[in-house]
Amino acid sequence: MIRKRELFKLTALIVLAAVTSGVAQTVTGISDLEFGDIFPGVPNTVSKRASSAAEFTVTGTAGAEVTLDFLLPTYVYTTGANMPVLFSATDCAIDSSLVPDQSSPSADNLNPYETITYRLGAGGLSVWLGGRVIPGLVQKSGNYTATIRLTVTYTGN
Amino acid sequence: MSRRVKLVLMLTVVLAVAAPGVSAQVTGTIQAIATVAASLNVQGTSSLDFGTVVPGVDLALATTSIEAGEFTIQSGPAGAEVQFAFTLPTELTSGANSLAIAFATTDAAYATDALRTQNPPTAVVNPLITTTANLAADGGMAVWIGGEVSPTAVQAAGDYSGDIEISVTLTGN
Repeated sequence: MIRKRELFKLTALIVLAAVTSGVAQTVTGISDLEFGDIFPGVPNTVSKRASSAAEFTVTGTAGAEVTLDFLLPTYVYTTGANMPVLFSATDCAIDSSLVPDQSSPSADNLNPYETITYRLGAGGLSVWLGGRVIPGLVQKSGNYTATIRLTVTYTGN
Repeated sequence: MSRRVKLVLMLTVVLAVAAPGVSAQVTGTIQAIATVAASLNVQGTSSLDFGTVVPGVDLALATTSIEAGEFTIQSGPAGAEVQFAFTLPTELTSGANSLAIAFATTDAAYATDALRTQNPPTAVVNPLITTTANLAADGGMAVWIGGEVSPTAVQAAGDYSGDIEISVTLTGN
């Protein structure tokens, strides 16, 4: 039989454990996926290795397993027009090193359309994403944009 | 339920809600950005003009001639690789009459220097096949075409003409 005083202590301990068990988890978009100037009829690919690749950083509890899920656009848009944007099954790379290396990431050629499971390093994770746009022969000139979203979830493992 | 237990439960809820850094799921966003430039502009700026020809006398025009045909390419990406190809007539027509025209393997030329110098051009090329070249730093190029007409000895008098078409494609390189 737990007395009320003990129940209070027990509850307080559980709450305290919950507060201190995780490091603040963040996902930050560091760099946009920049295709630059492109011309009608000429597709343009940005490699995940390129300085113009998209980059996210993830922070959180070192060693914690997380899942990464992208919400990827099918088109980029300007007023009154759109343009296909594609991602291949190898367009993503991640690195959990303390000094992330985009040119030689710890996990390479990942499929951004599938859930990626990985463990955070001491410095978290860096995530890079390439892609390809396919302008039509009569593609309207203008600035095209779309949002790329990355959701990171602790698995508890 | 005692007041102390209620207090504990309330505290639990408050701490759980306020606890920072234990969110199970977070999201970040970036933008995919592309700027589509205007299309290449290709214009025929001078016709290939043989002038008056005499029946039975062939007449050839060089790419360096002021009468050579000229195309002007503009508003491309600086230094970008393009491929251009001609669609060439085999005869000029005047009503029901025709006049033979031919193009040699050195009957085209292009220039990508700042002044678009026609003589000497940047390169002499074969108008019968596709040419790969790079646009100038200002995204332009001038292309000239010569040719030769061969009127017969009994060529009917008249104004003869035919279309010469150039197709320019950015290769993406």
